[in-house]
Amino acid sequence: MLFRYEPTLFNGIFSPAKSLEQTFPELFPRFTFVDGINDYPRVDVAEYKGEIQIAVEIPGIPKENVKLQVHDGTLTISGERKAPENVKDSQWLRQEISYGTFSRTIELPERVEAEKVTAEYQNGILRVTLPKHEEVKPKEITIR
Amino acid sequence: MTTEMQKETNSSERSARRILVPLVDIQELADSFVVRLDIPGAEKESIQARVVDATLTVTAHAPARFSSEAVGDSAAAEYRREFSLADNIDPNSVDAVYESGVLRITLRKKQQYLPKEIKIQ
Repeated sequence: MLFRYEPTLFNGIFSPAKSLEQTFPELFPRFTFVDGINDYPRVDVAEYKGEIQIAVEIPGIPKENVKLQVHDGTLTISGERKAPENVKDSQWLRQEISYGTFSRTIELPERVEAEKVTAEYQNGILRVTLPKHEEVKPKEITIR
Repeated sequence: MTTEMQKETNSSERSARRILVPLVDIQELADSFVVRLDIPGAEKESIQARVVDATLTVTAHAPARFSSEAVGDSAAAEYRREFSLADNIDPNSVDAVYESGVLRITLRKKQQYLPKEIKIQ
């Protein structure tokens, strides 16, 4: 299960009043996002075997500037993307990239083992692996 | 660097791939232009920045984020963006650094366009 979030160049002014999730809740049966679809950072979420895998796009942010927190069935990603230093005698010709602090909370579809959550950062992608709690994993029952 | 072109990609050639247009920042300095492109997930070895006929083309490959077993055909993606270079840019001066999903390209201005100090006698 995977949802792709396409980019919006003009966050803010042109963003829809309601998120897709709010407008068509039936399309998003399991993964409900607490915030809007245009919020930063963009995420991909997949469910695989006993794990929930989340890929977070945070280019230009050193991992020291990112905080992950699992709490009460949600995953919160927060941090800061620092603006490039202002160079003397420079001017912006184009500015599509946003800078500043951010926080996004994703509601997890199932209970996870908070102590076993791992995360790694490479090429601007933070990859979070959340093993499901033993209680919610499917179990094979032997027929006697 | 005053105008920018997004050339149509050849559909028959690229129909199977997902093309993403990276977000960019462009900054003009006294002696150069700095272009930053967000290309999260791109592999360093796959990044190409080349100037042909006063057009800078940047391409990069980002592999699928999840295993195909997990999500079926969740495709890999190609980043691509083109820029028309202004006359004052030296096309042989392209320099690029990739770090944490951001490609920073520096393009120097031609000598005759650089600011000159004039000594007052």
